[in-house]
Amino acid sequence: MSDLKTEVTTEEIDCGKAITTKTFDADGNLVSQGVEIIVDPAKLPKMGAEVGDL
Amino acid sequence: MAITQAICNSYKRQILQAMHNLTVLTATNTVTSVAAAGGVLGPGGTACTVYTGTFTNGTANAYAGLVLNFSGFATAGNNGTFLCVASTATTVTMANPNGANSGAMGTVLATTNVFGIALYTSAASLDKTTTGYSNTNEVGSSGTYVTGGIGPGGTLIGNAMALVSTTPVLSTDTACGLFASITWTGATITARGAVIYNASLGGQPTVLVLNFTSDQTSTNGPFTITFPAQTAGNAIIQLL
Repeated sequence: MSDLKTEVTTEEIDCGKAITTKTFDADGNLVSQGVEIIVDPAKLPKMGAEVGDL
Repeated sequence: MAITQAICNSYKRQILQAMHNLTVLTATNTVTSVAAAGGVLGPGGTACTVYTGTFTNGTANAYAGLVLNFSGFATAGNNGTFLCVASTATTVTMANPNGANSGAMGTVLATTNVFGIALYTSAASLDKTTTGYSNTNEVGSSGTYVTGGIGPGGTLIGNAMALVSTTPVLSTDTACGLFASITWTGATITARGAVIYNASLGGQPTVLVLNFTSDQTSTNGPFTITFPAQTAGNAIIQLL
């Protein structure tokens, strides 16, 4: 297990951020890859309501 | 084909029609024993599991037709989100064909609607005009991800696809909803976007579309979506 190496990359996407974590063995072969989508509220559409609209 | 991020137009209209409810029913709900699945009382003849315990507000089938979320049971088949077929103050009968009386007991939450999430490939066309869940161009089942959606009228196979909601709160003058973050483990998935939908209603109407911009891939690993805090300016669903 100690020979495993990880590589983390971050990408800005429309709904927030995607963090990809790749795990490689000692020979450089991909063992697994995980991804976390972090939703950023600043990038989301919002619903508003004015009194007159209701 | 394209995925365009949006609050779905149909959802905005349906809010004024009081069709969506994120409220979590507050009550004492504890399970002390489980009766193995049997019978055909569930939708489509689904076998049911009877959970025995304390269900304060469950008298006279008060929970029937609602969807309850069971978690923390040592026996995996007892965990999940199931349609309640019947209830009393001491039992709830759930459309769960996989329940078993073994292992440590867990907890149960009752929500008035259950919301699901689905991931889609780049071949999908999703935007503000998307009105309901569809498995067209949904990513395939992998790891704990299950294709096919959920809902009382559905197959009930997709419990891993249910989002755990929290009762909306007011943050200053903004009404805020919250979904717990969700992770599918051991999954090999390539997804370009996601749709959140109300799994409890007919047609499983959509709430919003998330655009991942490019293909996001997990390989035998976790695929996680983390949602923001339930405060004004942050919440995944806000009514200003």
